[in-house]
Amino acid sequence: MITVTVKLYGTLPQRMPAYDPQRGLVVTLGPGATVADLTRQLNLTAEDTGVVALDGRVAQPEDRLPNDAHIRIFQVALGG
Amino acid sequence: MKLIRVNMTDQTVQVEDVPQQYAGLGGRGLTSVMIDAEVPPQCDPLGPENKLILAPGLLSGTPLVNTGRISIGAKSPLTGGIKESNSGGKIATSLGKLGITAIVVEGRSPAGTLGMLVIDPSGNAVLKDASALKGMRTYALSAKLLQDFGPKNTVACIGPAGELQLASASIQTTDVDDRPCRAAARGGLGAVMGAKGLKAVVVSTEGKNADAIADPEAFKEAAKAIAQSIQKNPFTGQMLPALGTAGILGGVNALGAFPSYNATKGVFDGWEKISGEALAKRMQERGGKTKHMGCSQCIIHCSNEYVDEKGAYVTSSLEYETIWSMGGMIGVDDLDTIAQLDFLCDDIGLDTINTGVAMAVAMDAGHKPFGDGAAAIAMVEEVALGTDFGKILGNGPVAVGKHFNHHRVPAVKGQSIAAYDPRAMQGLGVTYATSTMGADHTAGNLLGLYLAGALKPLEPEGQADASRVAQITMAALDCIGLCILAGGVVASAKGREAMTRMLSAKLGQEMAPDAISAMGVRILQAEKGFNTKAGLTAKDDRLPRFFYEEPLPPHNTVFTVTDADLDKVYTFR
Repeated sequence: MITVTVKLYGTLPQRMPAYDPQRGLVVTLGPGATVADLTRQLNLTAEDTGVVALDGRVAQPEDRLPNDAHIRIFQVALGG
Repeated sequence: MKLIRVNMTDQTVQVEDVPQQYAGLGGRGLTSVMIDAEVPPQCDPLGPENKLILAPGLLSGTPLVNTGRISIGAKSPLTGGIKESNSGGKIATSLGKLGITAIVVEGRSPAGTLGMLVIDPSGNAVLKDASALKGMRTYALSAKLLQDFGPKNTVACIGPAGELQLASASIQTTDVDDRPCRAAARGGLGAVMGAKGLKAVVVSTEGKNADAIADPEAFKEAAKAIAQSIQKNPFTGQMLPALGTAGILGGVNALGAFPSYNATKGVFDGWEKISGEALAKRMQERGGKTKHMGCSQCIIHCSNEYVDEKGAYVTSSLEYETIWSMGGMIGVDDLDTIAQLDFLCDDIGLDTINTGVAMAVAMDAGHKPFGDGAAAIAMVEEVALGTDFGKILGNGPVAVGKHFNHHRVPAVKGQSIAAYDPRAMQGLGVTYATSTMGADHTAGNLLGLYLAGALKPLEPEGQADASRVAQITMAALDCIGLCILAGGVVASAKGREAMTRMLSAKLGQEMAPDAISAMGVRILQAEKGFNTKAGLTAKDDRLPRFFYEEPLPPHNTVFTVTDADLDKVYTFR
């Protein structure tokens, strides 16, 4: 099993009442889990999920998650 | 459907029916087609031959939501080409309800004189002497005008920067709360207004003579469908009301596309201090507003009201682009400083984007250190004071670059880029380079495609085509008068069909399925034609050299879209 820390942005935290913006979410996944596995586990659809940053780099859905990874998930938006 | 022509030279006002050649146009469509037809392309932008046109959108003043947008157009003193600058507030809806299709300001006031245009509830317009208002900043000016003419009016005005005819001068419009915090900011149109000797336009909000809708029932039905789409969309229905446009900051930063320290980095270390989330948290703690209606007819409420530690008003609305230009771009990670700079720019009548980037160039050249918020505030104040450096700063980043002989000036056709670095979002580079407006994110923003994973931001492939489509759509939205944040609804086939039905119902003629695209293409062709006649060439459709030569961390990429691809963007089939 692996453990990753996830921070959510936009209005995504509102989906999870117990979310702590300072600490984020600690999520446990099976070995070899990918970004897509993570978003699925968090019940985030493609419409919800924009950029996923994995340890400071933009990640793709098929990217594998290392243990202790720090992930930030941002919403889809159109521009300011 | 009437035009009000104001001749500042002989101080006359004439009303005429809208000529057939402009029928079916509003907003940017009308300003650009009219400028192409009536303004000598080679004219001095600050001379009497230029025309300043204020045109509400085609659907402004109708029951459709989010149509409180006005286009202000002229030949730009900043770019040397055609310009449309877009603002919210109340003035577009007010003009629409008066049945006024456009105000066309021509000529130039006699030297030393200053005037204001006042339009009453019946749509009658008169020019009045405004010499007593000389030098006034926009907040005090708007308050005085609304006291003198009554609260049931709205104002478009210039501050000291416009009177000084500086190339970053804005035209400010009052919002729903009567504050002059909405801006037709880009391209120096405040300087054009100042050159004409026009300090303000006061418009009654009590008009009841809106142009008839040919098929009200069909219009109402389509309008309802569009409003529902806006409310159901997670971006317009949830994110914008909660965080404002600043809600996108984290995503852009994560993509390494947040130009920082004068576009030498794509990630800003202090981003979490100035993000939409941080802004919302601070306003909740202080009693400010994170969900605020700034423009009439708006159901999104992306605006905010920033307050200080004591809960006193500082500015509205603190937007993503300003948080970038007055924040990351100059290395400032303090929201209070950024809010103060935003207020100052509104009050002096300055484009926050061009001014922030001008300061970033000055800091990059060693004039002041990055991150020095107090120095930034002092620099902006210099503009209002009219000092030598203030005039240089107020003329924008190219003027500052020349002054310091500094090469890294992120501008195209004289106008600064916005808050997306073209090396990390190649398609934004295409839009910046090729837009008829100079570097302008609102001309064709591809952020949504990048965040949705529909287009790879670092690869050159597909960027030119995507930018072309976006530029066509944005031109049409600016013509219709629909807020571009709500404009995502016309990206879907269903939304576009509803909008086409609505235009048919409004104009009383069946619109072709591709009518919206055709509208956008017509506008872009008029603008491109004007710019060509004004002397702009393919060489002006390029980014500055440093974007091709200096890799941007963290991706360490440069701009790689070819010149051939850039030159194809304005090829329409």
